[in-house]
Amino acid sequence: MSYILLAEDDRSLQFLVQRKLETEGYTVRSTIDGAEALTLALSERPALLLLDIGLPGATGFDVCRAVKRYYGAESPPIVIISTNSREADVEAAKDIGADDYLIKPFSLRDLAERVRSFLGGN
Amino acid sequence: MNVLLNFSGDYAQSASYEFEISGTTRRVVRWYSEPVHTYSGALLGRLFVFRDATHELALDRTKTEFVSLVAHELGTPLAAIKNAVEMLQDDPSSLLSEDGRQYVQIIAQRVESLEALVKDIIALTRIEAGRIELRRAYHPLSAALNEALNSVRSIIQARKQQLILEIPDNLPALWIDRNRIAQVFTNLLTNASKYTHDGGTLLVRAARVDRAEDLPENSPADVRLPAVLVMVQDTGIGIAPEEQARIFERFYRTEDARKRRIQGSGLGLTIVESFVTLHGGKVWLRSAPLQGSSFFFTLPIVEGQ
Repeated sequence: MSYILLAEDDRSLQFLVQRKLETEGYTVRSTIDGAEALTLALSERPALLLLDIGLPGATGFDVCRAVKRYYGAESPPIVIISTNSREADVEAAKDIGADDYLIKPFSLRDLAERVRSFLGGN
Repeated sequence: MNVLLNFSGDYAQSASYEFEISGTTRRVVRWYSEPVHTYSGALLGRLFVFRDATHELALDRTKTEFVSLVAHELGTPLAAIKNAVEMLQDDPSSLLSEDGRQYVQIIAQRVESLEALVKDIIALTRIEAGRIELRRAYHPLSAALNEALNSVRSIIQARKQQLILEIPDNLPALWIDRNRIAQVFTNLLTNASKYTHDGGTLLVRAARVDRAEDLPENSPADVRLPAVLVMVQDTGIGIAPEEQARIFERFYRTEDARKRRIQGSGLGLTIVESFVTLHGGKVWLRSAPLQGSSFFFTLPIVEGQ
């Protein structure tokens, strides 16, 4: 069964996002490591990726770029979640193919809504 | 150095500038000049004061970077608290008592004000560091206003205030950074609501102005025209005349606001002024204690960018 891949190195935030999405009926797999996220993303093709930028192993941007290059037009949607709030950061993310960008602190209700807009209701 | 020569004559103004000396080390020199007169008013000459400001500028930069780092590092813990509170509020099987729900509500409100404060500090440090670039495109004024209303409407409704919008349909599109102008509206409307009693009235009105004589009477002299003039008016506590010149200063809060324990950082209007100025506009106000306040700002109409 297809899942949402969440790469977030703040453990409490990771737990909260995962729980929220699970209560919405999605299956979530979490990691704190960028390199692990990349391996999973390329071998298992998650339904959607939620990526923090500052991750150990590989940055969220590295993962995003590699996943978009690998899957091309068939790539799962990627949502960047970051405290970086400058427009330049948001544009840089869009430039490498990110489909959406949420600035922390975001609302979980908002996050769930955006995920739903990509994946449809569950 | 040419700029110095301009001030060598009988020039009755004080002035201060800075310039850089390059060489082995770069120094920034701030200078200041003022005419010196005798008691009878005859001009004696000019006084020039030169001061090495290299160190203070470096300190200022360090401060800006530090504040921006702190604000940034607050983002993640704030996100976790905010999201945990949301989970508590949204959990249908929550075992919270009536009191428990109130405690959660208190945390939620305070996190929200902390979040707004951090946002303001980040915006301000960027303004001070000169790191604001406008991302301009042609937008109708209402696009920015609607973006602001998405976040402000609930605040106004919670206080049972009436919001009247008088925005003509035929205003020209404006060459603006929509997010920044939305922020201007958000800050002005948040203030209008905050400083007005429950059930009061807020008004947003906009009009095209082509000639200086069509501006309201207390407008500054150097408004760039043609422009769209916006007024955000409230029926609130107003601002004492002696404080009106200071309210755009960063962290400045009026005596009255502090006495009434109305929360705020004193950054909102500083940000409003910066963003409007970056767009080539002006901002000013008309207010009297207990008579409400009207904030005006202009956005120049520029064509063919």
